[in-house]
Amino acid sequence: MKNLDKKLKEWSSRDLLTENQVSSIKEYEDSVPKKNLLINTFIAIASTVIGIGIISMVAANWISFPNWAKLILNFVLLGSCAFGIYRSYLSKKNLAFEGLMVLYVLLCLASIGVISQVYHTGGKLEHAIYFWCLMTLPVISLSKRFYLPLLWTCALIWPLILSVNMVFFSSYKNNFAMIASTTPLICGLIASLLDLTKINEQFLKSFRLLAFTLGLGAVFWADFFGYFWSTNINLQTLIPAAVLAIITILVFTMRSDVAIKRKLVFSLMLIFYLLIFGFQGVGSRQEHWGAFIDIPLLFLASIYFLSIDYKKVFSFLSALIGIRFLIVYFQAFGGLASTGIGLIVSGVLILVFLKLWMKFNPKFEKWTNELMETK
Amino acid sequence: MKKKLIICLAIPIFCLAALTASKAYKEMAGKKFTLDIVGFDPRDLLSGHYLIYRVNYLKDGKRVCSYSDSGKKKYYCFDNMRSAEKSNYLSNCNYKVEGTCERGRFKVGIERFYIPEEYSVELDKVVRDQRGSIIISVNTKGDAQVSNLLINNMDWKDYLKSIPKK
Repeated sequence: MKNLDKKLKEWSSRDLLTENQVSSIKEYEDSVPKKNLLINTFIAIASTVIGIGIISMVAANWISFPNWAKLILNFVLLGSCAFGIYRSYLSKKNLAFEGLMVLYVLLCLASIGVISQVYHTGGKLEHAIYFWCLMTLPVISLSKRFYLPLLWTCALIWPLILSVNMVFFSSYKNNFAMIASTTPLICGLIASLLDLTKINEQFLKSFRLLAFTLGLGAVFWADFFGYFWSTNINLQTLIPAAVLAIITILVFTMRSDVAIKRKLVFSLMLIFYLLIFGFQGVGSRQEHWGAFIDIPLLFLASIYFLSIDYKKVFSFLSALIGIRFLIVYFQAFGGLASTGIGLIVSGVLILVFLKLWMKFNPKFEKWTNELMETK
Repeated sequence: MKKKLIICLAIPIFCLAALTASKAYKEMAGKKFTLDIVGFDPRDLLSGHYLIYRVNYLKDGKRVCSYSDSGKKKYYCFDNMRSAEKSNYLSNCNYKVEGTCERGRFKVGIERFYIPEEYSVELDKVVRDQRGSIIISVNTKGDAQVSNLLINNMDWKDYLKSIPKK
């Protein structure tokens, strides 16, 4: 707020804004609920800690209470928390609303634990998490913050991976390849469906973030696959990923509000994504060859993220492209890099890359923006 | 929005209440059977807050599953303490359960009992000494649920009270 006052004062002194405009801006800014990242983070942490504390207390002292008392206490806690959420909604206390929501969904998870302790249920952990995901989905969809949808999304994806593991292939390598290639695409497909239907912005962001982070991890795993395993993966492991990629492309191309060039970039990005895995299933190769797929893939991804206004992701991916170029250099001329001259050359090369990146990044950003805006 | 919020908040409470009610009903309505238990793995009898054991379903220490049966489904009848590979072999049985063979163990979802960690060492010892048994509740639909853990034929809490504290 201090910064805004300072800026307004400066703009007003330079006759960029009138006094009326300054007072209107101040009035508007005062009325808008503040998004303080630090406070939100601490509220999320505090609620999580309280939730875990309650879980621990119940777990540690459960023998002291009879079963009926444990269950009643559990439901009283749940009911009180739900009532607190309702009251904070009525009194428009946004921070209390979001904090209690976090506490409430964690209490729901703790309740499953309490019920299974009381009745000694023998189910698997992933079944409890699926049940939790199902019953908390409506309440989490009311959250205006990113934290809960992200927690829910991670909770949904993690047991999915566990349940797929070792079901289709007997070798760990092929199972891992299938999970690594499909999980980001599952998240990407759900994100595309959410983007198409515009149901919930926070869930869209969560699935997009997971698709991006898991996808990036998977790409680098596939790229450096040769360092982990000496034999190729079975190409059949990529069938689910290929099917998912086709469906995701179809869903994305159904959107009428997206320029054809963006659709093309998105489709190419997924094709290159499949190629990097397919590359690990055919023939013998040298490690740095993966860069021929990896770098265009990162390039396409950076263009795509810029087109949806994720500038930080764009910058991050641009930097990764530079790093990947350097890795190619080290892979191709590894022997040279270990000598004194080689290290000096490598250091200079890093500086040259940095200089080039700083010089061309804004131009590239501008060019990409122009490219993606035209239909 | 108010109504929507109330409904969304009520859904988890309703689901959890339904789960509790269903478990409570199964426990109360089912027929009670007592089965002896033993530890099956010297390293892994206790896992955090729960006791994992092997149930002695058959007389004379015989097992429902052998190691070669892994992954197979089998059926067990509580009425006559017999097992079979197909459900219709036990057609005259009122209380039978379906289970899966895993590494020589017949698993029907009654193989764990939640205990406080502070008593884990003592309970681990008595179960290893083959002094433990479980009471399970089984209904005619084939749902089985653990009701209680007995040590020397007494409730495990009473047993813990009866032993001198160290």
